[in-house]
Amino acid sequence: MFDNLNKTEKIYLNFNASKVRWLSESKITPSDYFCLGSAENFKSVSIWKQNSTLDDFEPVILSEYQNLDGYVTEIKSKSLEEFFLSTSNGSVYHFKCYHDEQRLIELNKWSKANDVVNGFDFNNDGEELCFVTENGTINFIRLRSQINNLNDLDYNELCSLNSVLYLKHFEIAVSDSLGRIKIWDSRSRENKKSCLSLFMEGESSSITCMANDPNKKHIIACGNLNGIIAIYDVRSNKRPFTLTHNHSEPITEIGFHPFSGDSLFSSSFNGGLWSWNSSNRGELKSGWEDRTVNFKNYLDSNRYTLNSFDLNNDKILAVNNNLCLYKLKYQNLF
Amino acid sequence: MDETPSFKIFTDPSWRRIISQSREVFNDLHQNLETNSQTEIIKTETVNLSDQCLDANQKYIDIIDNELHIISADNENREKLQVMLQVWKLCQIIFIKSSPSGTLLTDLQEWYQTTNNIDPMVQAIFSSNSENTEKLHLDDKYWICILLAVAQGRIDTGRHLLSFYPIDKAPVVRTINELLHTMPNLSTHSHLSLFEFKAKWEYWQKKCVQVLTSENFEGDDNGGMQTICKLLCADESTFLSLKLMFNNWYYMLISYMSYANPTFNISDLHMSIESGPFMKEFENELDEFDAIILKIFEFDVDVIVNECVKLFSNNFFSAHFLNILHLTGKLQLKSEIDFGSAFREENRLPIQEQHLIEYSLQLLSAAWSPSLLSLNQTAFDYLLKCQMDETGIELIETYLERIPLTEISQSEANKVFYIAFQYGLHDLAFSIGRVMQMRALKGRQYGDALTWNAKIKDCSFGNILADKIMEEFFQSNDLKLLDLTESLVKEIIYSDRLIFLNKYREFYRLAYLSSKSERTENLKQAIDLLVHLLQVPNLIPFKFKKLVFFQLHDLIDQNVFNEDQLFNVLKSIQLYENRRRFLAIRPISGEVHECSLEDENSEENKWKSLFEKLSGKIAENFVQNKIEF
Repeated sequence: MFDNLNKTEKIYLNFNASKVRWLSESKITPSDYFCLGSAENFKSVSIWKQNSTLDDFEPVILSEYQNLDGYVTEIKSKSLEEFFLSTSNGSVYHFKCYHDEQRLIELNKWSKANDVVNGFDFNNDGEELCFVTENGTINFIRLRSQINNLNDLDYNELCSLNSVLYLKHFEIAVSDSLGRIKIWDSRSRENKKSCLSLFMEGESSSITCMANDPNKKHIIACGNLNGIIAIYDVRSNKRPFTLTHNHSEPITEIGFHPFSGDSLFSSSFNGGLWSWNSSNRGELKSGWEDRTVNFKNYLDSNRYTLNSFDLNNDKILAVNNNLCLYKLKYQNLF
Repeated sequence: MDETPSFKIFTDPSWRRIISQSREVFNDLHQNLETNSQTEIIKTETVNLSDQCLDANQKYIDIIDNELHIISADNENREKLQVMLQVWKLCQIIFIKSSPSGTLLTDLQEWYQTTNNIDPMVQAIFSSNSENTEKLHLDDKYWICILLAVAQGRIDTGRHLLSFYPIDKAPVVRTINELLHTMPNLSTHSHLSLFEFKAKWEYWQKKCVQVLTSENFEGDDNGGMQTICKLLCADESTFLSLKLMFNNWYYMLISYMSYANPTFNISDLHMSIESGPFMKEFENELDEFDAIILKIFEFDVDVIVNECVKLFSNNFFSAHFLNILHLTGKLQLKSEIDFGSAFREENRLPIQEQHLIEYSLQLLSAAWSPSLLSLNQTAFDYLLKCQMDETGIELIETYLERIPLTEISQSEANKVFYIAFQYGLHDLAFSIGRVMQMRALKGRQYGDALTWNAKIKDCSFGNILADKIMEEFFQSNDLKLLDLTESLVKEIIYSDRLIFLNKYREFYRLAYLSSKSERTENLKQAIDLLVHLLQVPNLIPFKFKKLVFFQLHDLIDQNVFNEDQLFNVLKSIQLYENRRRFLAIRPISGEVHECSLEDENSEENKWKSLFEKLSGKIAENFVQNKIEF
């Protein structure tokens, strides 16, 4: 079980952050660096460092880039020093930071005019990045090619697409505002049809966020505007396993525990950071349906929309809509 | 040039931090009070209330204090924040903490010490004379430091500095040191009653006077020792002579009172202001700030309402402080007492709500674009507490109505919708939904239009949307148009056209998209479905009926119709033709324009072929049945 060993610490920023992400190769590799993407009409991204040896949470800002073309809609880190981010003005940026010299450099930028990039993901090799937009387009970027290679799937969904995840090397899952998750094969650009379309009957609320299980890529969890979390197994067409609060506040972000797919975190509009824990009584292979789920709110003192959170090893960072940055620490699962 | 003040200052980073933290304190305070009032503890309630309010006020002060520590020395907000801190602290002392008989000494001294901090000066002396401390007493700031320390009641600092004066030069140093050491201190003697403390003080002051008159002040350069002694004796003229050191009449007054009458209370303070010479001394240099301080000392709450707002150019301080006063029941304005109820308009808002509203409006005007929704939400929190005549909610609604929905992204629109819903502004939420669904339709994002439509369950628009989607489908044959309803099946029951669209999608999938093995079975199901649809009156929109019949035409050859179904189809065609004839005579707009195929010839041919096939199949069935029979 997860016990909160250390107190929840918080500091006040002087802007509202829409996304917080640890900078690291993977969620397991511990890191002291994180980046904050701004919300609303600020257009900046900043890199921070926290000193894990200190008792108090006093992160220091290392570098900042203030010329983005819109507010930040998604950040994903590739390594300790590289990350991608997407903005509300249709662009995807590639940044590199030099922590010791406190520099942040824009390496590359791809844009789609008059559109809002809602989410993106890149595959394991770092060869390809896929981003989805509000106008319903799915676009691919070849990261390793010499020319700026941006092309899209010859298919324009008639609703906004909210997030995308790479399941396998060539397989992506795209969620949209009609509550559906569609699985596409990214190899062919003339795709007119997705391989699979998943949705919950009776629940067509817009899916706002998705995450996949760290160990089993075919398990996806998604949260929607009605506050319902659904856990899909994309191999089967079964009805997904759903988790709900006793309120219907939209879910802003969702993420699995870095080490195990038995535990899930979600943040919502009313400020709670919930941990959902399916207890494992020594059984080997059972899904969420077969176990009891315990849940707990780790930020019940917060009453303002939790915009985003991220996990790294045993630390969680979260940002809310009242300029606060929280840091929480948890006992490792094993 | 009289410009309306711009409140863009509120978007400044320092101010944002202060605003956000204050908002949290404000919300927490009101939340706690609400939960307290719901429990049944009556006795401790009043005590809790004022404690909590004092706590909250202290938190406000701490917020500003912290901010001053964080920001750099050349930040443009520094001065204003320092003034605000000074005023707020003084208001806390006089309006909240003080009681008619309570002593003000400790609090006012602390106020003097923190708002006119001599630590930097002291540290400068030590650092510039760190090598040879024998010369320390010759530093030009030396005596000023000691005098200020004594004036402010920082006796330990004063004594420490005094210890650097060479004793052999002036033996009176020892005596002065002794006096300072034995000075009765109100906080350490709190166990004594005021009367006892006064007695102790008078005894000690007699000793000071003795020292002043009889001791030998030899070796006292600048007369510093003598001045100290005179201060201890509460010699008025000495205080007046140190005008430059004090710099302000209020500091001088506090300092004098702390030696002349250390147990002074608020009325003593008033008397000394009126009868004392201190204000007169500074007469020519008094400015607005001095007037404000004077009014605060006189317990005139109106100063917060009027002058402080002007001083700070915004209502941040007045809104929060008046709220605290209102909650503790200490809000008594002179204007309200003087005019009496006859002059008061019946529906005028209480003053503290007026200021809350002012502050909120200032926040809202600072957030000039919808992208600063979080600042708007801060303002809404304050507006919600203005419950008189629902002024607050109305203002929130007015503001939300003005957000330009056509320029923001879908996720932002969702947020605005959610906020409207949260505050119970259902009409507003509905109209937001209507604007967004229309916007999506115009941009040909039918999926988004459907989501918004399903959210607000707008029947008439739902019908229009369904028609549009079907029309496009018949033109382009693009399957994803039909698929839009696949996840909405249970939710679109409010619009029959949408239901039809959904059923049509089922039919289409069964009829044309099944795998080979299931084909016949599915076809039968499909035909069954379609014939049932045809029979429901008015389900299939008139303009699509023709096209549906033509689709049937293609399926007839597949041998999946049974007899009843064929007859039903004939009946529906008959009804359709009747309707068509009726509309030719009396056209009803919306129903007249049918979706047609490319040219009239092929249409005529299709009808012919359809009738042929239908009659052929019926005849076949008839014959077969007869034979079997």
